[in-house]
Parts: sequence; C-alpha cells; structure tokens
Amino acid sequence: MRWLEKGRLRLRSLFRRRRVEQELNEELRFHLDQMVEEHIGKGKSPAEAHQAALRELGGVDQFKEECRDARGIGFIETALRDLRYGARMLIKNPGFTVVVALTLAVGIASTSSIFSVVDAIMLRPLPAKDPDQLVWFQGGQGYDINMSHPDYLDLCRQAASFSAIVASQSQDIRIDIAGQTKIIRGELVSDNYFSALGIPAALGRTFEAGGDWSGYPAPPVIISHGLWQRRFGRDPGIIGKEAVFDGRKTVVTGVAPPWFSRFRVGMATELWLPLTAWKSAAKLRDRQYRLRFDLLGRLRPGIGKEQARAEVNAIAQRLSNAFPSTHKDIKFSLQKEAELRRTILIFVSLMMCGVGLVLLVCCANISGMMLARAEARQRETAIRLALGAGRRRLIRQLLTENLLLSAIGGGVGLLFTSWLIRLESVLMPAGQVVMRFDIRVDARVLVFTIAITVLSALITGLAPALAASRTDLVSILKKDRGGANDGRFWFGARSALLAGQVAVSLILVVGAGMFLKSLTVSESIDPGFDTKRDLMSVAVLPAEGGVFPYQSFFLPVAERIRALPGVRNVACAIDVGVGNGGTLEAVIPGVEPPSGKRSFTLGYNAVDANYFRTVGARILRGRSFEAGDEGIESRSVIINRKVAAWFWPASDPIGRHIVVGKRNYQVVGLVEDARNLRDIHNPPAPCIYIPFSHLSGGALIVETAGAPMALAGAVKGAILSVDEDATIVSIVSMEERLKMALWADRFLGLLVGALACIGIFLTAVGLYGVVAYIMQRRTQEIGVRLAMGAGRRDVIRFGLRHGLKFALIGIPFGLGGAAVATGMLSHVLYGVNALDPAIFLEACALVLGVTLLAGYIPARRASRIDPTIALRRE
Amino acid sequence: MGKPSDLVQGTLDLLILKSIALEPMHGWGIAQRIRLASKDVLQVNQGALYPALHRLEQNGWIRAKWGESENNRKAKYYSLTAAGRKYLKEEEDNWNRLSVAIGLVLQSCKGGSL
Repeated sequence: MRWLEKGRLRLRSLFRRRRVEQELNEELRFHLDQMVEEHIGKGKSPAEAHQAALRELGGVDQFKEECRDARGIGFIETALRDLRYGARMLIKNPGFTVVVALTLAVGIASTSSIFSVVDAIMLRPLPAKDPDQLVWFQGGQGYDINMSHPDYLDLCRQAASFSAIVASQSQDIRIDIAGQTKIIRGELVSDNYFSALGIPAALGRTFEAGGDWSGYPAPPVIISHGLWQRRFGRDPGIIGKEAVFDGRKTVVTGVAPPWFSRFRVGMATELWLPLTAWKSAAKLRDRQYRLRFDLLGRLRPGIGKEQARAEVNAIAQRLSNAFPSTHKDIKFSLQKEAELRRTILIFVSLMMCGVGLVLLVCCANISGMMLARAEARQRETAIRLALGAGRRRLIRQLLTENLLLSAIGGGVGLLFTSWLIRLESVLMPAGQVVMRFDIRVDARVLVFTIAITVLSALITGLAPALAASRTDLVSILKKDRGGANDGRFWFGARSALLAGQVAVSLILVVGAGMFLKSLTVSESIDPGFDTKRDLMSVAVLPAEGGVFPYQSFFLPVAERIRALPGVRNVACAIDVGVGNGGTLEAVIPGVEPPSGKRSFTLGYNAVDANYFRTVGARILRGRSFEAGDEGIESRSVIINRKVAAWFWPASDPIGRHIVVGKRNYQVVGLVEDARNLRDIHNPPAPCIYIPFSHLSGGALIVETAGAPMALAGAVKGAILSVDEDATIVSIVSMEERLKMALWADRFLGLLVGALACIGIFLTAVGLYGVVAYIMQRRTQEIGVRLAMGAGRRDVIRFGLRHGLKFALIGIPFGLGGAAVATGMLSHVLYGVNALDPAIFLEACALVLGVTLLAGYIPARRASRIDPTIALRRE
Repeated sequence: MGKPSDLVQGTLDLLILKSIALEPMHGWGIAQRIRLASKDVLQVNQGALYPALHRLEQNGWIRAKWGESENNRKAKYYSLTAAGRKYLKEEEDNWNRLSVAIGLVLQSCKGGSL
C-alpha cells in the first residue's frame, strides 16, 4: 500500500507540478500569517510584524528547492529540463542540427532497410500455422516432383506420419489488364491447401477440403491481395463476381491476406485455383497424366523427419511396384522450411556488415562535428562548471541533447527506410518471374531502428561529453588563445576519428571493387549457348503421359510454333544447357568406374535435332543430331567436352559407346561445355545429350526474331491448340533467366558500391571540415607567412599536408581491414582473387585522391586570404 | 533564548512524527509543539521543517490533508499513517538505546583514564 501511495504522490508531483507548487506556497503563506500573528501578539504593529516575519522566513526559494528535491522526482524533472534546453540549443544552430540529423538519417536508413530484408527472410515467422511441422518433399531433381493426381491421393491416404499433405503446381495464367494480355503466376492447389496450412481468407472463403465444386457455376478462384488491389481496384463486392483467367470463366470466392503470396520464399503468386476444378476429372484420374507438384507435408506431432521419410519412400516403392511401366523410382527426401532460409543468411549478413560500416562512418562524422562544437562551447561549459554544475549533470545534459538529435535523425531515417524499401523492390529483377519478399517496416524493424538510434547517440555523444566536462576552467576563462598548441586534445580526437573514417571508406571501396569485378567476370561466363540470340524457354507438361509424347505432342506443337510469324527456330529439350541438373548412371565400356561404384554419374539433357542449331551451341567434332537420330530406336548420343576429357582424353571420342540402362549409345558428336543456369557459378559438369524422344516431358526452346516475350501469347495458343489440357509451367526469355542467374551478384555489387560512395562522401565531408578548421585556427600564422613572402602554393601545400596525414594513417589500417574482409568474402566472390593487388591499389588511389581533393578546397580558400586581414584577426 | 541547536535530519523526523502522534497538526503548529515541549531549546527552522515534512510524506509515513485552522485559515494538516506509527516506535526505541549507551560511556570515562 505504501508503494501505491508513494507512486501516486510521485505522479502527482510530476504531472500536477503547478498545483503542488501552489499548495506549497499556500502552506508557506499560512506559516507566514501565523508568524505575523505571533509578532502582533508580542506588541508590534501589523506592518512591523509583517516585516519581521518576512525577515525570519528568510530565503524561501532555497528550501522550496529542497522540498522539490524531497519529492523525489528530481530525475525526471531534470531530464525534462535538459530536453527543453537541448531543443533550444538545436533550434539556435539550425545548420548543425540539419547536417547531423541528415547524416544520421542516412546511416540509420540504410541499416534499417537492410535489417527489414533480414526480418522478412529470416525473422518473421512463416505465414502458416505451426510452421515447424511443415516439411518440403524433394524428389531426385529438386523440389519439383512429377506425380499424377491418383498417386498424390494415394500418398495422402497412406502416409500416416502426416496429418495433411498439400500439393501445388505453378501455372502461368493469362489475364487481360486494360486490353493487354499479361501473364501472372498462378498455382493449382489441392483442396486442403489453405486449411492445412492454416491461412485464412481476408475476404470471402478459402477452398474446402473435399472439393465438391458442383455448387459453383464456374471454377472458384482465390486471388491475391495485390491482384485485388491492382486489377480489381479493391472492389469490396468482388466475392461472387466472375472473372476471366486464361480464357476461362471463373468465380472469385476469396481474397488472400496481404501477407501471403506464396509459401515458398521468393516467388509471388497472384491466384490459386483448385486442381480438381481446373483440370478435367478424366485427366486427373489418369495415372499417366503427370503434373509437376510442390509437395508440402504437415508432420503429426511427435513424428520425426526421418521416420516420415522412411514411410514415404516405402509408399513410393509400393507405387512403383504396382505401376512399373509408368513409375520410375521416386525417392523422396524431406527438408524443413526453416533450414531453407538459413542458406540465405550468409548473403544477408554480408549486407548487414556493409551497412554497419557505413553507420560507423556516419557516427564518426557526427562525433567530429560534436567535438568541434564542444570546443566552441568551452567558455559556456567552463562558466557552468564554475557556477557549481556537477560533472555528471553536465554529461547528462550533453547526452540528452545528443539523444534528441539522434531521435530526429532516427525519425527521418525511418522515413528514408520506408522509401528505400520501396526502391528495393524496384531493384529486384522485373519481368514475369518476380522475386518478391514481403519487406516492410514492422514492429521488429521499428524496435531495431530505435535501438541503433540510441546506440549511435551514445557512441557519438559520450566521448565529446566526457571531454567537455574535463575542461580546464582557468585557461578557458582567461581567454588564452594560443597558437598551434591550443585545443590539442580536441584536435587529436578528431584526427583519430578521421583516420578511422578513411580506413573504413577504404574497406568499403575495396569491397565494392571486388563485387563489381566479380559481377563483370560472372557476366562474361559463357553459358554454353549464344546469348546474343533472342531465345525463350517454354516449360510444358503434355496431357498424355504416355511413352511417346514426342510424336503426339512436341512434334505438332513445334510445327505450329514454327509456323508463327516471327519465330526462327524451335527445339525440344529438357532445358537449355545441361538440363535441370538431373543425373543418370552410365557404364563406359573400357573405363573403370571409381571404386565402390558400378557406374558413372553423368548430367544429361534430352534434345532434338534442332536444339544445337537453335541455341547456337558449337559442335566441336562429329555432327549434331539429324532427323534419323530422333526416333526411339536411335542410339546416337552427343557428349560435351568434359565427358570426352574424362573418359577418352587421348583419343577420338566419336564412335565410342556409353551404356545407359539397357541402351547402348554411340557417340556421334562433341559439343562445347554448357552451364546449369540455376547455378551458373559452378563450372560445367560432364553432360551427355540423348535424343529427346527417349524421355517424356520437357520444354520448348524458341528462337525469335525480335523480342521473344511478345510472342508468348501466340506460343501459348499454339500449344493449347494441340492439346488444351496441356500445362504450361512457365514462359521465360533466356535474357531474363540469365539476369535471374546473376541477380545476387548484381545486387551485391550495386549495394556495396552505393555504400562505398556514401562512405567516401562522408569521409570527404569530414576531412573538409577538419582541414577548414585547421586553416581557420592558424589564420594568424598563415597571414604572417604570406606577409613574409610565402607563395599561395605554399599555403595550399600546408593544408594538403594535413589532409595527407590523415590519409596516410588511415590507409594502412584500411588495407588491413580490407584484407580481412575480403578473406571472409572469398566464397561469395567469383573469379576474383581475394587479395587482388590491382583492386587494392586502385582503391587506395581513389581514397587518396578524394582526401586530397577534400583538403585542397579549404586550403585554396585559405591561401586567398589577404595577409593584412589575417594578421589583424585575433 | 539561547541559540537553537542544530538537529540531525533523522532526529528531526523523529520529533515531527512524535508531535503528530496524538493529533494531526499543520507545519506551524508542529514547530510550536516541538519548541514548547523542549522548553524553547529546539527551535525548528522552516527551512528544515518543510523539506522534512515533504520527505516524510513522500516516504509514506505521514499523510497530508487540507483543513481549517483555529483562526479559520486554510492549512495543511499532517497525520501519521500506520507505517509511520510503526516507524516512530522503532526510531523511539533506537533513540532510547542510543542515549542510554552514550550515557554509560560518558559516565565510565568520568575518571579520566582508561
């Protein structure tokens, strides 16, 4: 109870200060009146009594102050007073305030915006219920699993380790926006998709598990929040309305919440269709009709990943035994979603380090300015100390001022952050495939921003505050303005900061140089096909899953596409380059496999006769595929250089044999190595090219005259005219895919480059300030020199020498730091030596040049002084 | 009247608490009571009194309430809280023990040598 009373009193003292003061006055008034009465009682006149009482009462204010202290809220009161004082000081020096606040804002904004990316990728919980239970299914070739719908249903029914398994297949959907056909990303999903993942609809309903669509006039569709905004103008009556997608009527039954775009980090989905409503029921019952699924399972509580994996593979084995003709061995492995994100961590940590450095440079700059200002306020500080202000009080007041300044900088920085975030999404590769993280300023980012604001306030303010409180009173008050040795402490501190800034800038510039060179080298990687051509890859799955989709599907489709105006060439392959990274086992007659294994593991691609011609790959020996090689009975194979070098280094590979499964192929040609576009930094792997007809499924490679994507709609139409149930997984131009492959390099290069520019700019500004300051202090000395006959150039050299001094101290540290930094970056850089001397030297030259320039300008200005004016100045 | 003795803060608290133990009183009245009870030896200066009162209030040992004085003026009356009563008893006991101890020391050292 005591605490309650005390608290209430404290609050009252704080918020009703005037009332409390008034009460004290009344109390004292009463006391005074009593004293007067007493004096009157002793025989004095009222006037005399009053005077005597006043005299007795004495100085009221002092013990009023004591009363105030006794009330125990002194801390808060002084803090408020400090704030008010600090605000007044800041308003009085608007230039200083603006510069510091902006500098800090830049530093804080860049740090916060990168943190928001970290937040979006790493820290924010996954947009599903109990995400820990969710695991991805991985097949032999990554996350795409070729599976028919009946297989999927069997899996769901038989897998007891999972409470639910959801399936989704990506689908490019055509929509009309303002008369233009655009392609957006859609997903065909199982009925339980939203319910199993625990994602509610923002508007309307999600799909019900069970999939009875008979009540709907058209297939139901759930649209993304973004699509609702952009295409439907946030129409509140959208539920139940009809919309046309991919030329088919649908009815909108729900809008997804704004934070949900797709479960897999990165790609943004715009609409979801139930698989069973979109595809014909007959096709879905056919076990030969395979779809490319993403499978996500929710483990039952208590079930481990390994246990589930064993069960799932057992089921796969059963299916393979039951349907041997169509089911190859599907092997699953499971990976938790959380583990996926960890791989992006390295990438993002780099970014954090970079911006952290920039923030340090900002702080150093600000510290320098604070030190300069503290020195200018020495007289004021000295007087306050002389009048009895405690050291701690002074430090507290200076820090409060600092905090206020930082708060302003932080607030502006937050504003910048939200702009920067918008910019970031622009920098992400545009085009059909949009990588979009849901980056925004949420509570965590806000807390982070506040934290670094306070931290920078302390970093920048503590040293100057401590230094200021140690002012030597006597010499300051005596106005002792000496020559060069005055204020040596201040100067030393600023110099140290500046040298540090030079060092940090050097590190950033070296980093930027490294990334830019890495990018340049990466861009010149030869992917194995002619990048100057206008190529487009179209990934499809035919409706007929039979053994010869080539004859019945790909051939006629290729014909139709070739007939389109603007198309130069059409080829069929699994993918451009080395396929999609799949491998097969091959036996090479005459060559021993490595110990412990019975065969060699080779990469492969299945291509038709047009392939090499279409993509512009170079045949080095022998020939390409011809019409006779395309049939199912053909046994021709083309190998790449890696394979030839591996197995037949000394002799001609043409005519040699490679045995895959039951087929004995014969090498007819040798082609240049190509790279896997999904992993372009890795050197090319050994790869063989078998006839396209030997495998089912694949893609079409279209060479066009002119921009390929303009023909996307026509191509899609051509495909659907052959088989309207065909699934078009994606249509992407090769240019876009190359851009995607190098996206990370480009982004990092740009980012570190920007940071380096900011760092150098701030350092230059800091250096300019310090040299200007030196020149100003030594005005007298300069005047004397000029009067004595020194040339202007000598003065300039004098100023430059100071600038150079900082650079010379900072550069060695910077080089050391840069060497350490690039050492840590070595596995992210491509084609660049971590200690590349050229880059280090160039960086040094750049930093040196900038520092000299920054020093030159004020030095030149000082050299223009009229000696007589300089001498007269005190 | 002789020069008023200086009072240590803790002792002043004790006196204030004691003087309002029986009946609430305003600041002026407390000073009067102490003066009268000590036969004019202890004259509490208002510069010491009011800060002490505010401190005691802040610590929760006394409670303040506005009321009317004998001559119908508005005055702030202080009274003991339960916690204050307990604190008073403790401090009184401490003081008594202290004064007895000091007395013993003074007596035993009367002889001069130790």
